[in-house]
Amino acid sequence: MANQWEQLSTLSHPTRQAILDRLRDGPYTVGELARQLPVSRPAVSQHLQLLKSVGLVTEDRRGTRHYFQLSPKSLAELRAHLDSLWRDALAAFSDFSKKEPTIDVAKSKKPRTNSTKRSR
Amino acid sequence: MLPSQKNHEPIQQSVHVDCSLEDAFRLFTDGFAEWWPLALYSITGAKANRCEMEPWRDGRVFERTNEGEEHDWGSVLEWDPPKHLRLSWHPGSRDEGSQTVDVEFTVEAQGTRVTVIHTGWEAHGVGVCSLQRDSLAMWQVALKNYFPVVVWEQMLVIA
Repeated sequence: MANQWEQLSTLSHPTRQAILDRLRDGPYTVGELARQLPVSRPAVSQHLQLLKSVGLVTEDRRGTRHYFQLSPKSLAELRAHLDSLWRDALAAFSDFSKKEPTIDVAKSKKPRTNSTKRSR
Repeated sequence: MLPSQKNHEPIQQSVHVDCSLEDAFRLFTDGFAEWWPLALYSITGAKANRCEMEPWRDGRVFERTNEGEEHDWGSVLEWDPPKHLRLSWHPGSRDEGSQTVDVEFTVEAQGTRVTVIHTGWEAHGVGVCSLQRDSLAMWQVALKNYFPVVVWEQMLVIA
């Protein structure tokens, strides 16, 4: 089951992050990745299978070669998650600001410029 | 670096608040522990007790558990009250590299616009994503350690 939590915990490994970084440039084979990273080919293969199992990476066969690439869908999901995170956080901040005593800008722009303390 | 693609662009969200620039900056930073929706977004889920932003340059942003453990989210890279704040952002990860969160405060009619720009998330997105979205995710984390996948999936369906 490629749920979001699994995707995220799968990401949190330095080698897998390094693999994902490389894949940002485009599709690579296991061999090509192994040459660029300080890990063995079987290890790269194992990490790729894990990334694939949670839907972060897809595999394409071109002739006899297998190419791995980032799944655009998973990047979009990550983006959606972060959009929600900051939207929720800012909504919470806005609610908080309404409860705290502040200088009300709307009121303070009236001719008298004395600060008007607002407390709700 | 890759050519810019829509999916890789910074995350940007903003909100209007009915207060001055100075107040908005002060509430955002000094009040961080009070407004951050910790029940929704934290590293340690149900164990999270409080989050903090030390309101100065190089200050830490972190969460503390009920047992007093501290987990860093990032630190204050730039501190320019009342207009701008820049944080490094890597919750749950020691990688302090590539993610930054800029918070911009700008005057607009009847108050202040607060804009968050989160950059570099696509490179090491796991950092920020260690802030779980909801209790469902927290349950998954908690249960994962104790039950076979099938069992906790069923439990979640029942719940």
